[in-house]
Amino acid sequence: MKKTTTIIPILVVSTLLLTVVFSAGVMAKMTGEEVLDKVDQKMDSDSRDFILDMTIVNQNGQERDRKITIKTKGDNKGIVKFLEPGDVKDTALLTREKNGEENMWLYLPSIGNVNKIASHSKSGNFMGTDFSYNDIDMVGGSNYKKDYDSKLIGEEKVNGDLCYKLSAVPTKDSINYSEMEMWVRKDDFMPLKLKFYDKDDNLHKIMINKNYRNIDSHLTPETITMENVQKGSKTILKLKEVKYNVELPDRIFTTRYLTRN
Amino acid sequence: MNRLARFVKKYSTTIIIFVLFITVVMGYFALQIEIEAGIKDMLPKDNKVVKKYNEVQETFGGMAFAAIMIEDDEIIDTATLKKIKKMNSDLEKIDGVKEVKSITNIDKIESSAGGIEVNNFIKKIPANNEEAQKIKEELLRRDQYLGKIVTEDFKSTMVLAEIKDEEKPEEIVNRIQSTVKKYKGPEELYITGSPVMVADATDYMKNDLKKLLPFVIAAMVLILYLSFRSLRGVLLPISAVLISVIWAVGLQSIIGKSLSLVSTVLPVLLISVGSAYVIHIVARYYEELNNGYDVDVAIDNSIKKVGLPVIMAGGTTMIGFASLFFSDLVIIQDFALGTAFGVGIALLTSIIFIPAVLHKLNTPKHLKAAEERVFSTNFFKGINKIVHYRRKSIIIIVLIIIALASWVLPKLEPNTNYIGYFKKDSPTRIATEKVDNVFGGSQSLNVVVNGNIKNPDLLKRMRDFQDDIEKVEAVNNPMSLVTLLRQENRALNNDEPEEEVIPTTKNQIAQYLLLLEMSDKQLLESYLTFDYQQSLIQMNMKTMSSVKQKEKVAEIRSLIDKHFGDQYKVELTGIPKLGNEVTDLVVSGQIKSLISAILFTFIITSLLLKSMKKGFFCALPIALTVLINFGLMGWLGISLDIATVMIASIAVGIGVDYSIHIYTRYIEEKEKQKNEVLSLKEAIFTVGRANLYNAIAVVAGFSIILLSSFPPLKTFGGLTAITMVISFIGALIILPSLIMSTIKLKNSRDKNNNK
Repeated sequence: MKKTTTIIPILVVSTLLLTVVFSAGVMAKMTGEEVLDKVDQKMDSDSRDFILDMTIVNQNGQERDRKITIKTKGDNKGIVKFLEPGDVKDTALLTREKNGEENMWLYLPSIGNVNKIASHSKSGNFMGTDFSYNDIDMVGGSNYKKDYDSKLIGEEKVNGDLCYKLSAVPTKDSINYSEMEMWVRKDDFMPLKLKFYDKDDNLHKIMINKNYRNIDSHLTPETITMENVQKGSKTILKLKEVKYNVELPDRIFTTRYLTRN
Repeated sequence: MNRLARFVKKYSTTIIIFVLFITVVMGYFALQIEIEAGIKDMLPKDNKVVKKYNEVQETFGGMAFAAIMIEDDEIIDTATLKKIKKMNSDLEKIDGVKEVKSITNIDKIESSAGGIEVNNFIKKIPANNEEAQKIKEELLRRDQYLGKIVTEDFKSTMVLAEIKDEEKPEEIVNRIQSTVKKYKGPEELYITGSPVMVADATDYMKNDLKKLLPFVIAAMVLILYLSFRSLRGVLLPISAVLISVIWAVGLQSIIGKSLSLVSTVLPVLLISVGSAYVIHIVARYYEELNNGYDVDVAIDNSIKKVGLPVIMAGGTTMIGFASLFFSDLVIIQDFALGTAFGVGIALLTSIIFIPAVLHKLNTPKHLKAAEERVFSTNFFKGINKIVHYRRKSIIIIVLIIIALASWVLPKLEPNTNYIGYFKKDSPTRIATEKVDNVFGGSQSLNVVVNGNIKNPDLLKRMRDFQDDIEKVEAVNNPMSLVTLLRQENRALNNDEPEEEVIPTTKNQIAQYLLLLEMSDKQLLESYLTFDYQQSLIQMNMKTMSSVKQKEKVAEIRSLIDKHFGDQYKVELTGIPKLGNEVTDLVVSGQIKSLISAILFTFIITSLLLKSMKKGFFCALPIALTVLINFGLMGWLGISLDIATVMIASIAVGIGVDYSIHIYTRYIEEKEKQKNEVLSLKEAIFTVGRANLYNAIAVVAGFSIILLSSFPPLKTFGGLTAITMVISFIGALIILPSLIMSTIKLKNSRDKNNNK
């Protein structure tokens, strides 16, 4: 009698263990591309309207605080506008992609002038932050599958969450990295950590997404930190107001609309 | 002294083993000694000017540049530009080089399709003459590059390599130099800039050490051989002085000091100064053997009879060197420490180690040390006659010399400019003068303005200041946010030259800065701190004498006061400012160390001779020597610099020995003979001879410094040798003449009283 009573829990435990191992095995069979596809799907939205606090910390620990709004529509229109500090309020940046060509315009309210910015700035700094324009594209919505060829190279825990670990190589010349490593939470396909390597294969930047919340059935990180390990600077984005799939008319993504404000 | 002699004989083996062991250990450390030639290394680390310099360097970087000037019939052509571009990228790859700027990658804020871009001025190397012509036309249209990165005749251009602030800029400079060398011909290349000068100076220092040391050893061997005519008489003194050199350099290394521009001469100096002590001991040892004593007694007598005068002579020399410690310049303090310690060691080896070795050796076969020499006997006869019959003329001559020297004293000028450390025909000096003439200066001067740059009032003041700076002669190419914002405004306004103006409202400034930040963050950060509270205005200054440089810096300071008043805190820094500080400290240090040297010597001699009057007599010839030294400098137009500033103290320390020896012997003889005139004659004949050999050794040693690669050290060697001769003459002729005069005065007074 004693034997049977001990066998039952053992059976239960081993069945549970087997299920875990088995299901993990099934998941592990996903390819890197499939994982990226899932990430893109989860983050996909027709339009977004965010307000965020931006803190830039330089290598000496000095900070610059700014408040900006980002509006995007589809994956080819975007507008970034400064809310704070007051002296740069309403300064705005418009990006449009047409036939694979990126165009950027900057509006400076103090001179009422719209200026075109060179498109090679795409891999340059976004608004003097540690994000490049390409990096910032990933905030809130992503195009990982299009921009990167990826391989699943294993599983690792990030802050206690089990993640897929991907190694990805950019497909576009405009992305100034040789490689990206990405940790995607297995539960919900949310990217938790990304590491970017420069053209000389040295670690360049680390991006960390924290505190995912469900907003309009979209999982959205509360803070995004990009650290430039080579320079010792970092930028912290705090997402304040987040709206998905809002109605944004096309006319607000025009240079004329920029000057009207 | 008796106890010392007993101790030496009893423990001779232990002493020898101990000294050799410590010498090996010190030798190990001595070989690790570093060489530092930077201006910052001359000044104390907690000096206010140095601190300010470091702060600005940390905030903005970009104070240390290697400036490479390329000269050719035509710079703006395919071949040369390609070459420059290749050199630029090669230089960028060097470890320790932060950034390289040349005509091929200089920033240009330009308008493009109605907007602005920060781009390379030359985007594509021109493929033919036509394209090159276009670039030239654009260069002529924008004066922001002319005279700064390329000359108006397109025959010269600059490549600026910024060097990271590291402990060893010399190695980075060496890598830059070997890279640049590959590109020589047909174009002429010149390379300068403060880190380059420091690296070149370091090389020269290493060469100096290698060159001077064998010379001084050879000279000593010769002098020793002529004195003793035996292997032992040469080897023992040489080993004693070498031990002192090894210990002195080893100690510097252990306590973390480096050899500097001035301490390059330390080994030469210790060898020539230290040899005197050991010569006295060994000479006495031979003399005693000659007199028929055995080794034991000879050693006893050497220590007992010569030990005390040697300690006195060495003690005052140590004081002379140690008085340099009152200088505020770190390199001179280190030099003071090294030489005072080294002299102390030379002293101890002479009276302990050398007798210990002699104790172990057999009686030598040749005993020719203390022979009479006809020449020197006649020499001293002559001196004695002068003292007797020409003393009035001597005193008149002295008074004339005092007047002549005092006359030029106020004309003495400090000059510590770094370029003065290089010979006129050295590549470094030629390159620096070339860059100064063609590009308006190779030294960077920096003005840091504190205050929020978004304040239009501040920006306007900065503009007005910068415009005034453009008018200052010998100061060129001011660069700051004003320059960037003007270019930005021009680019935003269809590239109209008259639009090179600054934004005028707070919001406009903020937005212009934001645009610059987004276009080229690095460019902005070179001139503005992250919190917008500190802005940098950088300018070039020509190399000039320290006095002129000081006036120039003062002129800039007054412009700062004029434009910024008390409302904004504005700081001025840069290599010229460090140079000014060195100059100031040279002068203040000269006064302090000279006064303390003379004072201490007076006190020591007074104590030793137990009379203030006697102390005064001994100090008198040396004070005269110092005065003549400064007089010579004034008449010959030699300025006070980091090396010549040391001469007075060294002259006091070494030169007073001659007077001490003469005067003590005179007193001794007077007590024995009760005849002052004869006593004086005896002193001249006996001590004079030892003084003569001593002076010959010291003068020979200092003369060898004339072979140095550094003009200030050459001057130092030559002048110190001359002051040694003067203090020798002072002790042998002037001091006895004074004594003779007082004797005669007293005698005539006595006669008068008797009447």
